[in-house]
Amino acid sequence: MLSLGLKWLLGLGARSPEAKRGLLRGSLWIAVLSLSLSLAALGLTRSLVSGFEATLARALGNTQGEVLHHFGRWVTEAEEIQILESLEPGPNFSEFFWTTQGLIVGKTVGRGVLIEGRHSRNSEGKIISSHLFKNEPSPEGSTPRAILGKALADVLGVKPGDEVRILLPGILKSSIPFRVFETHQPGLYELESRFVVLDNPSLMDWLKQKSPESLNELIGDSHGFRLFFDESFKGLEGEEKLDAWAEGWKFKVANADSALPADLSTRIQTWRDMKSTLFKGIGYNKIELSLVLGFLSLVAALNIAATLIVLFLERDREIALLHAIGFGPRALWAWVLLLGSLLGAVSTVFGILLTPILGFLLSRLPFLKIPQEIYNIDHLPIRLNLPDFIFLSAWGLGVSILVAATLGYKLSRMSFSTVIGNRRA
Amino acid sequence: MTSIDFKKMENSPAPLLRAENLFKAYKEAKGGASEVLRGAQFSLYPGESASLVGVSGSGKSTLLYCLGLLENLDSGTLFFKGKAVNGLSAQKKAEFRLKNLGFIFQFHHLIPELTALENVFLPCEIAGREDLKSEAAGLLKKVGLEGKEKRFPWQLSGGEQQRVAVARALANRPPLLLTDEATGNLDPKRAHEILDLLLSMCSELGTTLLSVTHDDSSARRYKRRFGLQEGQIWDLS
Repeated sequence: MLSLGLKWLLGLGARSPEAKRGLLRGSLWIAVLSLSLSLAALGLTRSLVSGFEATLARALGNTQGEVLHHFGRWVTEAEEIQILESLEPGPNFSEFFWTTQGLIVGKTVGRGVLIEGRHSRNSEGKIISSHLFKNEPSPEGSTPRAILGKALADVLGVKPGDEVRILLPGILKSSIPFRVFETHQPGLYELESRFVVLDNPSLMDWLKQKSPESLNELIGDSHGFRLFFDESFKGLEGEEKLDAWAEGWKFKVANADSALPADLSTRIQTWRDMKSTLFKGIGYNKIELSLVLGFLSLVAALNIAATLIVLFLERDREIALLHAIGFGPRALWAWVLLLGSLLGAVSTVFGILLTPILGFLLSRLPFLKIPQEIYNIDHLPIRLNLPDFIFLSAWGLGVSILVAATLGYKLSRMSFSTVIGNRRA
Repeated sequence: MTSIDFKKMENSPAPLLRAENLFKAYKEAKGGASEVLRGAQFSLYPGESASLVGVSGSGKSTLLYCLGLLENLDSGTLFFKGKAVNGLSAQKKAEFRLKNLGFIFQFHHLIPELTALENVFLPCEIAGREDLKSEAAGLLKKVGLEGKEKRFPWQLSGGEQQRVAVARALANRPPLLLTDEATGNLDPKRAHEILDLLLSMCSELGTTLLSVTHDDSSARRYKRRFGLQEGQIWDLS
């Protein structure tokens, strides 16, 4: 019955001399194509938002660390080593930091910024530079180094190699010169416009301080450390893994039997916690866009239903005959449902196949290049996630089945007896 | 012309189809109702062939559709093999038609995308009766369409198309065949041929036949003849 039905309604492998029927079938395939395209648009939009989210997450992770750990007080050098030894397997490296508010002055203008000093420790426990300084040691006695956000450097009118002066009011009586080691572009203006990272080893050398805690006496008491993980912990995919890791380590740090100092209060944040508002905003954007495009695909599915209605009405005498033979309302309902679902499935498969193809073209076509200096990437960050594909499949099939089931129910309750004979209605 | 009295038929074999006190009315567009059946009743016995005649608009087709459970009655009871069937649900009625009834209409209503053989197979396909397919294919030969099984309806003549419709109506071996002006769309020669075919095949297969026709000469060729007038059925045999 299935093959006969497909021949009858879709003309698959069948011949019919009626041009009207050919036209109707053509319009049905156009409706299928429109659902495919609207699903592809939905998939593409979700992939694009996922791409931006992932790019941002990765950039933030690479700059700020995947896990940020705040201590309640400054830790000693011995404690720093103790903390490093307590780490669960996972982080590739860690960096200790302090933060304070200050003033940075470039060639012409100055800016109030949040300044962060960073250092790391090698396997022997010796203080080394942050990974942002590419592990290059600063020559002894040279001007201390700083990395500025690209947007901040532009405002200050400085570039790598130039000198800026940094003033830490209430801490140091005079400003300190810093050489701009590099400008940094994580792709988030909010961060870039106030991003200042100082190289702790070179600063300690300049101020003739031997340890971070003695530096702290001069600078302030904000302190913590950042953990940087390998690829498997990065971005959206690694989020759960990261949370699990952080939870396990938090437990260990908080445990009374821990080797860590008992008075070391802790606050652990992942990159998502650090920028929770931003990522929530992106998440809402994704939902809003999905709703709009979801409605668009619903309209496309209704288009299939409308064409099916015409297709069935054009065959009302044949349906009436089948009805007379014994094709019951349940069978007719099942038939419409099956046909609608089949067309929905075909549309969904096309839509899913179109998504990566269009995504690839959009991200590679030269006329869609985006300014790298603004977004940190020069192409649209299409990211094809399995959950997005599952959503797309479920939505495409869901709306098709819903629309087909409703149409099938309506058709199954219609009386076709008036169209079959030559009598009065 | 006599009205049918069931009490006089007590010694007859059990009827295949018995209609009791059938009423059916249509609402008029201007209000009020037009009564088509007013207490119509009759019986049809297994293996009989009967015609139903009446003037245009007398309600012959309506009666046929009510008997075929394609239309609902306002009141009255329809018995098939002694069981009331007009109260069944729409789904059960469809199942009933599939097992027990065959239909031929004035227009053949063949599906143009299917071959002659595939059209004949339709009732077997709907019933899921693969076992009946070889017999159904044989029916196409019996109606004289051997060698034309793979032709599409539009590749057949009007008479041939109606022959396919005859084969399709009998494909599921229904006990009762209902036809509505089955030859009304054909020229007299073709109409005669189709009627011959219909009567001979029903006789051969033991199928009970009830045909609506407006042609009195055709009607006289059936074993029994009923007339529909003023909503009542009269035995004209």
